[in-house]
Amino acid sequence: MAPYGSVALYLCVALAAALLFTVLPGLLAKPKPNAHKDEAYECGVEPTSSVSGRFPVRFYLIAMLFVVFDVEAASFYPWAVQMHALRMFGLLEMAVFVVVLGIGYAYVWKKGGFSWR
Amino acid sequence: MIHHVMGVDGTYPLLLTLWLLPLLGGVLCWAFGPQLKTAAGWLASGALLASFVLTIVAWPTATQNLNGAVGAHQALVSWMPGFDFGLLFDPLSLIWTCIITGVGFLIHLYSIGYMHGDRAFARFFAFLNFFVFAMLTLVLSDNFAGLLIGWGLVGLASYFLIGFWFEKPSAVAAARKAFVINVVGDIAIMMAIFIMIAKVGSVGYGDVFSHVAAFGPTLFAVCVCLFIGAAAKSAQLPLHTWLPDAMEGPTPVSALIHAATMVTAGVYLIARCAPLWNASPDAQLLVGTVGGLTALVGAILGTAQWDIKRILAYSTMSQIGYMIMGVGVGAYEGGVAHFFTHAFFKAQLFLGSGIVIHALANEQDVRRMGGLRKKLPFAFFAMLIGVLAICGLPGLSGSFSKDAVIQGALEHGHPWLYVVGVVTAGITAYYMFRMLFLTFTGAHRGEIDPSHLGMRHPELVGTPHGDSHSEHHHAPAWLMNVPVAILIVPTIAAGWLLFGGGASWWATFFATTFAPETLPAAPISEMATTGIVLLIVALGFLVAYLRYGRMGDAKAAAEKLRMETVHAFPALTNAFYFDAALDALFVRPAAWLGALSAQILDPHIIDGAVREIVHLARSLGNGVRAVQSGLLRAYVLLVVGGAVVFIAYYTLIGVHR
Amino acid sequence: MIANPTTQVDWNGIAPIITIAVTALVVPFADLFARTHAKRWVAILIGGLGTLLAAGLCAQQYGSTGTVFGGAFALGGFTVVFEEIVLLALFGSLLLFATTMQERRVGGSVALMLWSACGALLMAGASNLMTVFLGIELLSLALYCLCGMNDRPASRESALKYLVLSSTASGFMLLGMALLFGASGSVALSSLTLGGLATSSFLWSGSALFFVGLAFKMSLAPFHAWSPDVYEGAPMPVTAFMSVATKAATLAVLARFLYAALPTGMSSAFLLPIWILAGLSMLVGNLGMLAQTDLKRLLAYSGVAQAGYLLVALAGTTALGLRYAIYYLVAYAIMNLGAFSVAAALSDEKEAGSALSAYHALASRRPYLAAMMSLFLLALAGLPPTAGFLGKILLLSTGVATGYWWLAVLLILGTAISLFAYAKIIRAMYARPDGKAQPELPVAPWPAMISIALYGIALVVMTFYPLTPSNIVPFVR
Repeated sequence: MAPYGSVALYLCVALAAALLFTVLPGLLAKPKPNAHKDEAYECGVEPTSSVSGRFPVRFYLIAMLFVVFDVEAASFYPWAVQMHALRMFGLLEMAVFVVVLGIGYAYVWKKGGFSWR
Repeated sequence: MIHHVMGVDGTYPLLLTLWLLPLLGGVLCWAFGPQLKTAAGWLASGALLASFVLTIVAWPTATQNLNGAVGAHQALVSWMPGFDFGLLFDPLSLIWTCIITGVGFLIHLYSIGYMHGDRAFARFFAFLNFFVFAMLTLVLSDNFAGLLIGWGLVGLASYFLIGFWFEKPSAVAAARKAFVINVVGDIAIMMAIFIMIAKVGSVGYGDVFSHVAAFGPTLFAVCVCLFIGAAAKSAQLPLHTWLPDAMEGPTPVSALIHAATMVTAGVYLIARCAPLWNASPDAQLLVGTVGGLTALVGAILGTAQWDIKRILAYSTMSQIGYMIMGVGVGAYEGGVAHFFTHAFFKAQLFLGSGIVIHALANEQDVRRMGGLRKKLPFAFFAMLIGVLAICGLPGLSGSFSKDAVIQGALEHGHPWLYVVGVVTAGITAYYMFRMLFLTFTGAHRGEIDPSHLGMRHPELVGTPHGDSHSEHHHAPAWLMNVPVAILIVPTIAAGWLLFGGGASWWATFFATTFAPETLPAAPISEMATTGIVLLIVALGFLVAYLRYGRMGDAKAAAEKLRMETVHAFPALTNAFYFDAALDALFVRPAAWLGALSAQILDPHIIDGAVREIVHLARSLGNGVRAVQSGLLRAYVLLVVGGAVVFIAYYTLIGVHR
Repeated sequence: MIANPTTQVDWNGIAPIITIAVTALVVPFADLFARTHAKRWVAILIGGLGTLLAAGLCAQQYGSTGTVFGGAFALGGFTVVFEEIVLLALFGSLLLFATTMQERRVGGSVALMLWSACGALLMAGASNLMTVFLGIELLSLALYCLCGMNDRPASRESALKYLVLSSTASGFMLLGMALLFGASGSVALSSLTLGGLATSSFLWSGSALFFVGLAFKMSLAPFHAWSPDVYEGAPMPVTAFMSVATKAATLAVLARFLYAALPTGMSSAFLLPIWILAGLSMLVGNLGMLAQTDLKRLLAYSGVAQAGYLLVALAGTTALGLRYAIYYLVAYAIMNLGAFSVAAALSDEKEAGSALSAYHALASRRPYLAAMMSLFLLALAGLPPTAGFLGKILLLSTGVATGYWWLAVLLILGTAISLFAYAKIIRAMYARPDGKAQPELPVAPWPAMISIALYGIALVVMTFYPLTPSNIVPFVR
């Protein structure tokens, strides 16, 4: 178990920290509820409707497309750092990745995935 | 270890042709039945005649001997490892092929007359040809799987033909009974094949026989499984009950399938598997004993029958008992020889009885016959020859082969089977002559009221329980007489052909097939055995003559028969209660269990075991459906629950290792 | 400096997968520019050609040996055979798009199915845990989407159910893989074969979770509950594809694990639960069939039972058993595709051919389809003269030869039960029309009709020429 000891310690610390920040405020703070505190935002624009209402499904589509490009950016970064070391192989790999993504992008675009009907 | 090479490999177009011709004939009869009309019968007979001629032409290929490989081997399809299908044409299959096609041809010819005017004339011949094809497949196959295919197909053909007049409920019931009992045999053979695959890895005869040692203690199990199959097909105790009932089929069917060919498949199987039996003395003892008992019991039951076809059916059972006894104790040549001669005289007897039945407008009860010698002289003559042959009158074919079986039992060290064989020969003479006297001699009793004869079902008169094709047409008599006349020749001569030459060529013919051992001389010589048998047969004849040979005028005879019917032993008229025993042992417990489970599961369904199973399966299926609630959380629970059990098993077992 | 780590051999090894992937890119692209009424056939044509090309490339790999990409993907007959089965399922399922599925969804569905097939192909050759997981997830993710590719509410429901349940199972599997990794310190399957690991508790508990995941994908009872609902809801081509390809790919992984990745001297208790699952599946699957009114549900239960049958061949882990399992798998693929093809030939995008009531008196209206459907059902039931019969005989003989008598008995029992369900459909097809007005039947295009005939012929021919590949030793060592 020796090599994993530090991992276990890390897990314990992470768990403890998370619990601490969620449980401790409730124990320490004195609750003083009022109408403003129960609103969705305590500052900024006045909410116009209940937040637990329905969203158009488009939101989810956009969100998913965002995740795709998020991942793209995440994989671009390490490649960019090691670009010279990876040379042609890395370039081709990334090109394949971009082409796959590009075709998907073109497909979604042409199918009207971005239009807000 | 003897290495068994089965046949000389090669291409044998003759063999393929003679095998497939009946199939072709059957398909043509089936497809063009309406167009062919009566020509269907001639077409089917022609196919068989051609097949028979080809068999004779191909004779030399079956007896060729090349470095110890005897016969012809034609490879067909290589299926998967251990399953190479092919045809094997060696002396043993040659003999069977000769009978199947030769006697089969004569019976086909006879059927043209007998079935004349039946509205399903062409269908009948299609079935007959199909049966012959199936039977040829059985005997020509070079492996157990092919044999089983042929085995199943002849059972199917037999089912069709017993139930040919499917308007008769009794025919349908008989067909079903025969089929069910035969399926029991099929399954037993399948079990044997499974063991062969497990132990030898092949179903080819050559492979299996070369590796008999590989079976070890399971050899006995293989032999028993094979023998159960043989017993079901060849009507051996206690699986014989279907054969008398099978007489519901048309008489030519009884002659072809239930006397000459199919029922001898069991004899073929055991003779074919001689290397297995030679290596298992226990199995030999079992088979020899069952065969001997069947011969005896069949003969005893034959003495109490009134239906001419049932008498012949029990005599068939008894004679096959002889054959099985012969091949069982190791006297293979004798058993096979008895098959060979029996095919002729039994076919002749059946066809002769068919002429009688046909002439009496479907009367089958011998009590209502009598004095037919004058009216049907030819039938009398033919049946007399047949009866003499079956009784074993020296010089006729039956004596040679039957004596060979009886003597064989003694030579192989089974003296009590020898006694059984001799006693059975006497009883055989008694009941066969009883039939002959009742049918052909004395006064005609056809006009006497059935109740005066003690018949239990007087209402059956006019609606006989036998062949009842209602429109009664009379075909040209010669069509039925010619085949019978031809059969007389081998009935007399077949024995001389086989054993006439003293030290017979018959034994040398099968020398490689059975690998006979040299035996010490029996305490009783062959000559003496023939004498003893003759003496006993004469005694049987005498008793039959005294009881039935001189019964006076019709009225006196009727009174005698009535007394005999009324005072008959219940055990005999009920065929020793075998049917009742099978019923009590298997059918009724099954029904009882069915009723019991029905009360638990559903009080409305009491229709027997099969529907119970369906119902049980249904309710279990509903159980499966109940789990299938469609709720996601239930499914997740199932997955997680299963996983927990899995993990528990692996961690517990893994830890305790 | 990192040199190019790959060689020509590496690329050749995964050429079929690349081909399918490229096809999967071309199909949606072509779909965008095809005329509206040609979209369906353009997608099927491109997908089909790509599949054929991949099958050809795949066949060339039959004789090669070893592994590529640093032990991630194994070459050789075992991989090729399973890849070809997946490609067969892919091709057959693509043809089903000819009648079912709305025109505007065909392009996307075909592309997703191709991606899904990529995952299955990866699984066929996966020789380390990461490739296995990559393959399974690629296969499954595409299938989640495919299941929902229909406007029926049941379709959406099936997609969601599949996603949730499959993710659960994947979670178990991933944990199992982590434990396996912990046991050997390597992701390579071959590293598990060390003799000392036979008693490692890491290996035992890891395998338990790994098996749970595989059993779920193969829909073995009691992990089968998803399959009837998902099969019923999913569009017909998707059901056909997942019923064959998922099983084939998972069987490849399982067989490789059982044959090539177990430590020497492993006790038989290790594999016992799998055989118990097989026996349970045969019972549950066949019993479940009895009360069904929907063909897809019925075939889902049938699939549960067939998965159980397949495992009988692996019991005892003999080389011959593996060959027989492959034989039966091919037969199963063909009969399943055949049955779905008939159902598709009776369907449009409403999928009327999925209800069993659609088969009443079919023989009088579409005698050809009724006859072929009967043949496929007979094959599923395991009756001659079909490959299903021979396959079952082979499975039985393996079960008996390796001493798993009870599995053989269960196989016979299950077969007997299943006969009722299959016979019911056949009897319904050949019943007299009851005079009620029947909905108009669509006319299926000729490729569908020909493919049905080919399936039927193949099933019969396979009975008489039971070729099983000899070059299938799945060793990754």
